[in-house]
Amino acid sequence: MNASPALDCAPSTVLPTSACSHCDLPVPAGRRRPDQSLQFCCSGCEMVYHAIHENGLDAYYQFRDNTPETPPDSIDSDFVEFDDPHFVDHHTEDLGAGERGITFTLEGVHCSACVWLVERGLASLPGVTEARLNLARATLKLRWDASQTALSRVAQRLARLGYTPHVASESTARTVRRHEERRLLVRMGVAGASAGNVMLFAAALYAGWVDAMDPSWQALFRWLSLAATLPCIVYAAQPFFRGAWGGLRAGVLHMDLPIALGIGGGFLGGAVNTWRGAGEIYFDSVTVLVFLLLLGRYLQQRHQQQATDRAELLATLAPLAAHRIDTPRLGDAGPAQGRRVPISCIKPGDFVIVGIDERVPLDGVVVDGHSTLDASILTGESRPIDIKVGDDVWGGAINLEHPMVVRVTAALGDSRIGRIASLVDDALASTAPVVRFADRIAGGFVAVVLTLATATFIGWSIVGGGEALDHAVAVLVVSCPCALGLATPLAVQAALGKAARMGILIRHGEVLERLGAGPPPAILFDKTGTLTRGDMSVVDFRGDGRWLAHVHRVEQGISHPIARALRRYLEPYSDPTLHLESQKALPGLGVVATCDGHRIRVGSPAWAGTCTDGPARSDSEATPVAVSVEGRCVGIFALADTLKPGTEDAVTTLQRLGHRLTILSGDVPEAVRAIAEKLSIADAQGGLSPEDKLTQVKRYRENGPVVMVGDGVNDLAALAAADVGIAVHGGAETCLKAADVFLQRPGVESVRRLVEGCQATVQVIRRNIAFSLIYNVLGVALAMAGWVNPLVAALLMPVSSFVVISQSFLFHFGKRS
Amino acid sequence: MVVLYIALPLALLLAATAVAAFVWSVHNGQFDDVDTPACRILFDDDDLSPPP
Repeated sequence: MNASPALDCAPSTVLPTSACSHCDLPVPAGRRRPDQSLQFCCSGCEMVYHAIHENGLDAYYQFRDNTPETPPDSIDSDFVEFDDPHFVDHHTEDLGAGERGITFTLEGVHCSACVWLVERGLASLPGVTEARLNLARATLKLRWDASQTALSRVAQRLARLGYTPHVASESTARTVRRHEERRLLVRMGVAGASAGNVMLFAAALYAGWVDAMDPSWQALFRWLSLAATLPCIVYAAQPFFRGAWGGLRAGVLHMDLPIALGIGGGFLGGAVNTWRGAGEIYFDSVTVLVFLLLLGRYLQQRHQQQATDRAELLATLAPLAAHRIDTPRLGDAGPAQGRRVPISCIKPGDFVIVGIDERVPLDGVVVDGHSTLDASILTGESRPIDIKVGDDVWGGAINLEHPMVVRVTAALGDSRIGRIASLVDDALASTAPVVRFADRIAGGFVAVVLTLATATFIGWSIVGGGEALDHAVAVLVVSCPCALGLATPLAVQAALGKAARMGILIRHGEVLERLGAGPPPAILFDKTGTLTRGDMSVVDFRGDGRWLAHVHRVEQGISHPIARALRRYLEPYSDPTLHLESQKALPGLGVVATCDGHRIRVGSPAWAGTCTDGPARSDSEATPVAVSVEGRCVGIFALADTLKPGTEDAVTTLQRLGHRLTILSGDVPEAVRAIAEKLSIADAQGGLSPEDKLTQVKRYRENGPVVMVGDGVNDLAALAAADVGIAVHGGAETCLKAADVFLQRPGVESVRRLVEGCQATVQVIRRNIAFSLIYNVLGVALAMAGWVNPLVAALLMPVSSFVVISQSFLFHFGKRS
Repeated sequence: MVVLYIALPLALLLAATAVAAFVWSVHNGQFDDVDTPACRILFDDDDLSPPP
């Protein structure tokens, strides 16, 4: 809520602040009911609260440990399209015996109380056999009997509880990833079982040094160790051998090579010695090595998966269904006269009716109706566009004032959004991956280790004593870069987790190195919705304060952004008891109504009534809205797109950290210049199309790495082409595919935290690598000197890993200012 | 100590059985979500309400 305006009159009644019984946000004056114990800040919260109580689910309030975000606005959908046979075939699977299964992605899932609420809330519906929510991915696995409960009823229950369901697209890519993850887990389990058993046998052998063991028992234990190691080497360690072999064949050296060397060398040396019946075996170190390395990989992959899923979870930009009608004429019934069909069924030439506050489903031409459109998500233009018969409309834009009938001109894949998406794919294909530091030194590492091992063998052969092979193998085993292999993945994975807890979802670890290492990259910002609120707000008012409550009442129920802005601003003064009649919204002019017996007009100054005072602000980017009573002007509001709170501080900090900042916007150049001046950003361009933004990003990339921050469809291609693309809270959901980072909390503050966090992470990675290299040098030196036996090797390695692990988890991601 | 000739292979067999069970449970999808079950331990079983 904005701070109360600076006015010369005080609100008529002052009530003590009360908190919403559901979400704990303050309740605005207009909604307070002093005679009731329950207060709600909005109808969404009120509906959710009653839904929870009607179903006896009050314990929700005991379980939750986070206050929820305010419920989404569109809770009144009835989800009838979920019962459509085409939908059922396409999106649900048949599980036999009349049961069907489907996976939904839910909005608004944030803590364990949601798990309880969703699962209990659905369990009471007849025919629902399984409802399991995955908290991390916000997906609901549902099994139900369609003959007892329709899917739409399940969806309605979910929406009423505050968790609007969307169909989760189970793409083949996701299935493949899931199977890969499972295989990795199985390998890890096998390695762990192997390591555990081998270590038990090894303990027996260690005891044999203290008190001599009979050679036949020694042989038994050694052979059993070998047997227990086999599954590990043959099955679990496969990824490393295959990676090393593939790397060698391609001429690319990476970390798998020294790892494969250490594991393979240790195993072969031990196998030879077991067969010989003399010398040391290193099976315990080798199996634990494999286990730890696989553990690192598994954790890394799991976090990556979760971030990707969360980013993909929101609905697509186009709505799932549209209202198709047969005759291209608006009746009185509005959207209800159309039949709801899934959007994939709509072909070019069909007519659809788009209601108020609904998104246009597909590209088309208006054939009936006169309205205004909010296309900011496509163009960045913050002012609504006037639309009449014959105008083109784009899928994704929001219809503001009046229902209209549209003849569809492009099917789902061919729309403008689809074409921008193909630009995105091209751009994604052209960005090269970052080469990890560890991989770069892998080649040299291997060369050095092999040389030293050979030198050890030769040296000890000269000295004599038959221990040459043992010492050479010890060099290989100790040099195995377990800590080095863990250094980067662990720090990256810990950083991703910490960032996610701060509401910053990073899709892959490369982002950390791109943002944190090297000179600070240039940052390009979109304006509307990223730096600014994306919606008009009142910035000033001059006039008679007695009429504020009337203005609020007159603007009630109008969905134009100016009306919304006025209502938001005037919330503290609202008085629903004022009598209202003959309210009429005239497109392009304003609203006229009779309120409390007075004829009131709110709209453009030329129409509402001449004002003797000049406009409150004479800058061209502020839109003046005048208020007149019985034709006499009593005040003027100035509306503009305002900066999001915290933007100025964040921008200043980023400039201080050395980043060059630029604004790229689709909005008119005057508006862009005004914002740029306020933020002291010298470089700003307006009037850019999505294709223009892409060109600009490519141009800036010639001078070095580039970060793009945006929210709308008009930023998609630019986000994909930048080295790091950041999608901002509240933005177009299709951004999430093109972006590398997704900010769940509003404000540019998160960008600053991200940048600082990445720098901290890179420092930790470097410390880890430094430490692991020191360990390797020491270990190899000891092995060459002949002081490393299997027990020493078995002790050294966990110590080094432990230090790396603790370093990775104990650092601070993003300083708190 | 001769019993070790029986006990040790038996122990390895036991370990193999455990691994087999583990593999089965992974492919059954039981390890796909390891975070959410941690929340479920706090829930009571008698919280079910009468249908509306």
